[in-house]
Amino acid sequence: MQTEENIYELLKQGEIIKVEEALASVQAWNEKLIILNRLVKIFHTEVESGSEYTVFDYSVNMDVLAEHFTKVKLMLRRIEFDMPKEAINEFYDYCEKNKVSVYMLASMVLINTFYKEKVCKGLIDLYKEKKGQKSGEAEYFANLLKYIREKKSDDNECK
Amino acid sequence: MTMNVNNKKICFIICTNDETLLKECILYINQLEVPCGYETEILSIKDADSMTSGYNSAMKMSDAKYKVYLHQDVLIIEKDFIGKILDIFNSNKNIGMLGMVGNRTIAADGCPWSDGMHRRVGEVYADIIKQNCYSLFSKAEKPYEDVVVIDGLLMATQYDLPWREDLFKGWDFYDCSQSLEFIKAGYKVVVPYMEKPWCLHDNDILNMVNYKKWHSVFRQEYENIYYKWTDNGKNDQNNVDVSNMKKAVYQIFTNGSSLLNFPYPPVFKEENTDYICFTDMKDVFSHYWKIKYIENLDNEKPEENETIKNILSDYDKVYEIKPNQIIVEKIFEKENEYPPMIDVLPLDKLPNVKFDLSKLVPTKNEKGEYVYKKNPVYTGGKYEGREYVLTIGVPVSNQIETIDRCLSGIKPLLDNLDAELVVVDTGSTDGTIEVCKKYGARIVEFPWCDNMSAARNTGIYNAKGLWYMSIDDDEWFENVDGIIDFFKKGLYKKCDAAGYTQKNRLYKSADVFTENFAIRVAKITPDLHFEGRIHDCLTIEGNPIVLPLNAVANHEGFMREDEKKLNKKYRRNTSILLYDVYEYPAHPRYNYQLANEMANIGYFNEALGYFFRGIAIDMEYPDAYFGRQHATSILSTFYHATSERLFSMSKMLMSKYKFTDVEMAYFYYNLADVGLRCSHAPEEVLENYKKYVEYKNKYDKNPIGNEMKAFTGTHVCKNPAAITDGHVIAFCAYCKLGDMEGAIAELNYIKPDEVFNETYFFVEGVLRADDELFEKVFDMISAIQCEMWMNEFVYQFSKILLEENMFELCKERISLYLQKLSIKSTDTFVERLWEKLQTGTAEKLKKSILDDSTMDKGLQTLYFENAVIRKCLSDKSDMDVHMDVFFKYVQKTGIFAERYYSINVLNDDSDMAVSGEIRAAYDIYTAMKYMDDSTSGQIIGQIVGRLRHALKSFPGFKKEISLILDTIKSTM
Repeated sequence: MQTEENIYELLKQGEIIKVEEALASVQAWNEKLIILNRLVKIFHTEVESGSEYTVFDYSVNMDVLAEHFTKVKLMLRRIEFDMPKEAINEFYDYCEKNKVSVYMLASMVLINTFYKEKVCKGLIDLYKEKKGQKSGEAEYFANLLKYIREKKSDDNECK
Repeated sequence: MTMNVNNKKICFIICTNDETLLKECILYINQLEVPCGYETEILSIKDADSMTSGYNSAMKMSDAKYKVYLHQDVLIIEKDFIGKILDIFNSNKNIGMLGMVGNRTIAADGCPWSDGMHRRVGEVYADIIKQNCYSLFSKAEKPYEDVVVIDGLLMATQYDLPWREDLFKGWDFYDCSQSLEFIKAGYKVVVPYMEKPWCLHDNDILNMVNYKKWHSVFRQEYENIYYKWTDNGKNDQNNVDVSNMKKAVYQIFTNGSSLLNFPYPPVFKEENTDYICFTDMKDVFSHYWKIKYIENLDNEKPEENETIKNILSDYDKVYEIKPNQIIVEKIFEKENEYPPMIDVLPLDKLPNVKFDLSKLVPTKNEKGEYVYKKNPVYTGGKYEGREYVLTIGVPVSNQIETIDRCLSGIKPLLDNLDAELVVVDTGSTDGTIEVCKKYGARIVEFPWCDNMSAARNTGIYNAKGLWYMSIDDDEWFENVDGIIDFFKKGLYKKCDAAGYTQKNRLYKSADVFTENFAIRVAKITPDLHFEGRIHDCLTIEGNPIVLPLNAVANHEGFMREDEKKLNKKYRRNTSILLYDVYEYPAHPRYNYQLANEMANIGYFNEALGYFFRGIAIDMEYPDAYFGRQHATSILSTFYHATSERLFSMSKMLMSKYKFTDVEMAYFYYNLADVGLRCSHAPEEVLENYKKYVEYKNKYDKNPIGNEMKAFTGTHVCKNPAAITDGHVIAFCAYCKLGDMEGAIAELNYIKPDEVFNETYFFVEGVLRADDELFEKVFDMISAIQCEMWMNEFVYQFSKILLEENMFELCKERISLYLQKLSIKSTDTFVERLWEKLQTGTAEKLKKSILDDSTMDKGLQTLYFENAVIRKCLSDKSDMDVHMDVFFKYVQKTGIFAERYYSINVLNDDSDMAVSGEIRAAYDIYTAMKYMDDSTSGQIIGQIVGRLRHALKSFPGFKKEISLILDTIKSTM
């Protein structure tokens, strides 16, 4: 079994498959390891979907990644809880600057938000405003919204 | 130096070591609405030595009267947070501190959660990285609820009390300590009522490194204070606080007094009433009862206990609730009208099943944890170390009739995916296994032990697939395309479990079914397992992402038309389920399933007791799904177990839970229907009907949204027959009310041949309509329907005839009805009507209808007369009187026969124009005439011949003919 330090070392070397294997045998989870596990799953989705950038392009340093993950999650939540426009613009700028993929955002929408439809609609509006009506990102979140609606209603999600 | 307190200031205090979290926390604080005249301040204490030292230093730095101590990972999302906490603080100066989550009571070890979350109150949105959840522990009462300790995620104060940094030098138990410091100082600690959570807590993994150390410090310092909020401490309170209450409801709950070991909360609790549970068990706990522990309570005569007597003597009124009863309504203002309780049958008294405690095989360990074997971890396979992407598990038991249908539905999965078939054989001997082997199944033997989950868990344990799909041998897939896509397109990598639609077919001969979403596909983890001895449920760790699949499986579990099989299944399921309910008395799912089993087979009253028990459980241990499900079932079931009491309770239940439009439509439909059946005022029926229409209209605007949330009751909004029946209910109510305009409006939606269940009401409406409407609607009813609805007409005529001033109307309408009946049906109608009428009414009706101007009318008249005579015949026990009546009957029939039939027809047995009864009566009538004429030997021979012929034509007269023959013999 790999130690936590070894896993982060494998990450630094870009050995994502080995990181994933090592995570499978982790017994004692902590916040950083859980985040890494999430990031590996996001990475797979990004690769399978042909994303230009992956989350590990941002960094392979776990401390940096953990902070990045938390920032994106917190800033995404601003849409959910009606924070002012400047705060949401800050989120957009951060994602653009740091090449945050729609797959990472989708993962957070699905797992870390309470009002998924609202967040999805917010993302659609945001990307349309910033990148135009035919924005690929807006279309992606429109599909995600459809999927969420099919899955269940907002009310039920919060129960 | 003392600082002047600023009464118009709120200070937010955050101990922080993370700039990102702090920034976000402050962003939300800055968005809060600040009441006019107030100001806010934010103090962040960086890298404090301990929570208490950080908070103390901030507290001393700020002059704000109100302080909100919160974690850096807490976001205040309620914009009016400040206004709301000020309202609470201003409403009661004794409130020292409030929090978002707290404890009503505390475990004996002083830990807020060491023995479960049932003591917690309050709510918060929680995000724990890998999942999110809406943590509603138990809603606080309005406007706030007193607690013993609050959670440190957010603590708001209106007075400054020093934090115990002398004791707590870490990050644990500072919150419990501060709560008890406030209580020690004479203040209340409360959790406010929140419509929705006011905060979001971005929890991470708890750092428990020093937890034990600070726990021990806390116990040492506060045990004597918090003891009174522990279960034992509460029991030890010798005087129940009852001084201002006049009424008490009490329960004597002794060890072993119930097989359902639980003092059930009342479903409806009345204000200003004390609810006291006297018990000799130290571990009894309830939010709803004031528990009074009494040592050495005499189980034989507990009511004679002096302590109990003393306590109860303080009240003006006391009511006892037995351990197997639940209070179901606010009865005290109408105590003479309804009994206040509903019985819950003990487990050993359920119909047709046996409960034998000695046969209980426990499924949980000493800690109360469900026992299962952890699934093995594999390496080397291409699917995360496992050999297949999917294992399909089928537990089987002598299902030779259905197994091939089941497996042929699965075959496309085996053909198209890297999948294996594992069959768990629980002892088949009928060739089922041979069929399974043809499909390449790997057979795992499992000796049946009355535990379906154990069988399924054996399947999971032996699986070599990455995912597991469970299907039963009496199920079969209509299509599996969605499942194939799920695996082929890699969707399975993005979720933890999946489900498909299960159609529970109710009839073999008809396409009638209920649908539910069944989660039956899941990724195998070491802890994946089923729970439940019979109606098992897949238990998946955490808050799994579940994907709905485009696949439909049919299930033939409860075929309504095979009553014998249904009964057998009920007996099998219930006799196993009993042990789940016994072992997990507060488990809402098991309780629901048990009640459902009884309702399915028609034990509605017994089922209702358990459905109510489910609501009581929900009040003690709130469950978002099953509390509502139990209520839904009551509101659906009371239709069958019609009773006034249930009717009065249903509206209360409807406001207790949040139901969908379609459910509300269904409940109001039932209320209107049952109201009409129970002869409630038509105004009330129409009021409920209009509510039904209102909700149906809402449903029509959003049918998909509604059906996603609930399946119950959709038929009253979708099914044309049920909708027509709804119009019939309203039509009948309008007719009863005398509102013919309303009735006509409803009639526009009714085609008589489409009336399905409500034929009685339709006929009642028709018969109560005014002449104009009656003529119109009676024209719409065909002769065939008149015959088909004979029972309905008989019932309604007999009912309406008894009403004042309705005789004339009924008389005319009976004549019109008879015109639509065939002659043969007339006899049946008259006979049935006469059975229901008092003799006086029958005679009066007969006289007013008598008319023999034509053969048909003559025959009708005869039937009327004979019906009266037959009724007399069945009433007479004295044979002389009986024979007098019989001769009258024979005479009337004979005269009729002579008048309308030729002698040849009457003497020709093969002529079907004459019924056997009329022919026999004519023979007896003729024989009687011979007897009057002469007693010569030749004549006697003819008399005997006629009587024998009569007996042959209609053996029903055997007794009377024998008597006549005996009389003749005695005179010779």
